[in-house]
Amino acid sequence: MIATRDLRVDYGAVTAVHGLDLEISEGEIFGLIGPNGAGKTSTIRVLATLLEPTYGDVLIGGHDVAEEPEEARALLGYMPDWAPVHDDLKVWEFMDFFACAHGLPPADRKRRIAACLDLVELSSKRNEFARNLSRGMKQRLVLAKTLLHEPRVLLLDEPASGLDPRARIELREILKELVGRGRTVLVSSHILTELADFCTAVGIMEKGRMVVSGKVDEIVRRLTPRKELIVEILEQDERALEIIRSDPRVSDVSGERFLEVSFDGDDEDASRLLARLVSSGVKVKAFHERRPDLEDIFMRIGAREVS
Amino acid sequence: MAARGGMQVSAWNLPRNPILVKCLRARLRPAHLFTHGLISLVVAAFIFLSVYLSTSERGVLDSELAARAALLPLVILQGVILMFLGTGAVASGVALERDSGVLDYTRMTPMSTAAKIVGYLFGLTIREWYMFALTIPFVVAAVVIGEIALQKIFWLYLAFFSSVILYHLTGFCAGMISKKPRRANWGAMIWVVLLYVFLPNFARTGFTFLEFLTVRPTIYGMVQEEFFARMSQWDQAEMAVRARQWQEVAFFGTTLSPLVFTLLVQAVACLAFLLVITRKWRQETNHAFSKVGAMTVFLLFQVLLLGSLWPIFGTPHEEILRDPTLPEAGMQVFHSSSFFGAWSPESTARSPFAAGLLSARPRVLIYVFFLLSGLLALLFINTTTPSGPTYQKSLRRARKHGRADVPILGDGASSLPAVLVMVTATALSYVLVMWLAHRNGHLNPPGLWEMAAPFLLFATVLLYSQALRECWGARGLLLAGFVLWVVPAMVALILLAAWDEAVTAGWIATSSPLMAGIYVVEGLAPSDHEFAMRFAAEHYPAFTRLALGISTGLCLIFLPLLRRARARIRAASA
Repeated sequence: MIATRDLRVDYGAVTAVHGLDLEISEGEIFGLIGPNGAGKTSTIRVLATLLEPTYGDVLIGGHDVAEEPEEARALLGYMPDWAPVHDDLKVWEFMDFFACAHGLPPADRKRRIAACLDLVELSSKRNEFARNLSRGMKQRLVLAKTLLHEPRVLLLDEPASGLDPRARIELREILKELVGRGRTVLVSSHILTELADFCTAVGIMEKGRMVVSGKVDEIVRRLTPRKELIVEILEQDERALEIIRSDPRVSDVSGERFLEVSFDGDDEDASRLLARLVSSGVKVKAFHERRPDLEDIFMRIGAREVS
Repeated sequence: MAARGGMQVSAWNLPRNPILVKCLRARLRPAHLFTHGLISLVVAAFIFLSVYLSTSERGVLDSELAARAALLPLVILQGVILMFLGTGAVASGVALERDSGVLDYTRMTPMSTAAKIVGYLFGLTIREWYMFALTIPFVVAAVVIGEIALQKIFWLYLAFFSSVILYHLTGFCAGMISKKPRRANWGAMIWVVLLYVFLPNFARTGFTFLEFLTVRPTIYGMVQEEFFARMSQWDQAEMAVRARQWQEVAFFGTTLSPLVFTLLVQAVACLAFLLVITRKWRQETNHAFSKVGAMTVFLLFQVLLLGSLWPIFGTPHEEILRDPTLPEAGMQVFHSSSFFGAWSPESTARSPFAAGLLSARPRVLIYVFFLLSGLLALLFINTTTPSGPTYQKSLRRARKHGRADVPILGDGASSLPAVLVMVTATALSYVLVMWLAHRNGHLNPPGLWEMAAPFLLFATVLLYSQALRECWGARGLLLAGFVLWVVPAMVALILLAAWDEAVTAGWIATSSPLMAGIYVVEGLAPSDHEFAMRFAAEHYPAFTRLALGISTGLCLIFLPLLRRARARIRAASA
């Protein structure tokens, strides 16, 4: 549904996006992760037909955004990161404007506006001026506007920035519901935990390049072939270190009572290691595998610098 | 799930235009209706009643003439509302939406570009149109009581609305180009002053079409007697001249009504602004003008210049000297009271100063012809020349599509071919003008060199400016322009003012095309003034040669530099 091939975006002498290849299938929620300035917004603005790519092919639903922008736009719903609204319009007027601009038939308009405001839980604010809404409410209002014409592809640039924790959870639920309805969503964020829970795939950008992309589990497996075992013992015991170090599958151990073990074995091997520790009289308080999350992956690949 | 297709509203279906409806809701709420309505009503009522009652009640004028006297102030008020406030509203409204990002939402909707432009043009000024509407009853009262011919009111408002649309498009354009709302508002005001106050002054030299960017010729030529109810004898004479001047417009070999000509000239200007707005709507990063658009507007401008010069140089010089008020001669500057005191055609003909001005006029016209052509060409050079990265970007895209180089008319292509087209168009106009001027005794260049020099200066200045702009960007061109054109002129003026060093000043000023232009046109028809003639004959040929040498030298420096810069980019993109 969304594809970029060798996408490049230059701003004068600065290259914001460099050789980006992306493939997002229908019904996927793809999380674009990266520090501020990594090129996420530029990528999304190109996909939204608002920025001309310097080079490369960008396809939305099979339409080249540079050659057929109108056709691509018909499939798109775009929400920018700062989510501006017309402050001098009331919530329903704002929605009505976009319903008319998208050419929704008059008979459908009221129903669609009500449904979208319901979805983002802003029905009670429909007669409020947009300027009186909180930041989170404005974000939700723009999301509702984005959904009005039932776009097949949603491009959401930092949709949760500025939202309080409750609003973030609500947003997450809305996005899950949208994907349940068959939409394809590309969502960017620099807050990693925000995306990990609900994205079907992620891509990590750094200095304008896609460092890694794929399903979250696949990426974790790919980037952390060794397990990280956590062994917590009640009191410092040299035997514990000896036993662990003597295991041929262990490559590294650190810590004293809280041991972090780099382990290249399967679950069977891990349980055997635990059994040896316990049978040797080591007082094991906890023994578990730590699964790296996106944040760990992100830090591991060193995506700290910005372009 | 399929995206919804929708019913699209026609650009001209104003009541259903979503942008217009949105602006109506945002800008005309009951509070606005009341406050702005009240202000408009009170001011219009005050103007009408103060003029009408103060003259009719005191018996200064009968009620019919008193009502007529109130019409012009009311039209001025309407002009302030629509042209001043309305233009600012469009400029700042568009820039504000761009700055905040909400314009991107509209950009992404499937409305046609025309519907979007029409929506913003009338939507952002909806409050001003409402205020204007409230002044109409007073205009109707003035028309009815003053028994003003409805046909004339129709003419007046046709030209008035055409000017309003032109001003609003100017504001729209400023809003689409400048980033900051406050800057857009100021930018629009500067453009309005430049285009509709400063530029029309060139009409006084003979380029009458510039005056038609405003509503003034229609007022003076077609409806002035309805406005000016009571005039002194001098005013009547002045008005008679203006009426004669504007009642019909000489354009090429024909004459047009001022209204028709106003609509024609303003249509050309509107077209230019619409080209910019449409391009910026489609893609924010587009150049303001495409190469084709710039060349088209430049060619239309050449037609207007030529059409204005045609009747002047088409009339025998002796005839103009006998009667300098000939309408086709476009002689406004020569009957200004500041020049001649109480003016009359006879006094003008007798005045040696006026006679001197008349004989210098053909050279002034040629100078202004090249000046205006050059200024417009420089504007287009600045707006159509790509930066290095833009060229590189276009080159990459061209190669993606299997082309060796960027399309010659694309934004990323060099503006050199477009400049050559503009130079050629100007050359053709110049040849026609010279042929006509020579045939009717206005200009008598002694040789081909004298005739070609003004054009050569024009062409070389444009060529090195283009190369400079492409190599060093807009800032580089501006800086070079300041150092090469403005500073030498300033130094020359100081030398002249402080020590009468006319010769040294002349040498120094040769690098400035503004000053060099004066030297090169002198060769077309030597001055009648004895001292000027001697000085010019002695020094101007040398000044001309140096000026042309400098501009040709700069061409020879910068054009190869440009070629090398482009080759470097091509190599880097390979």
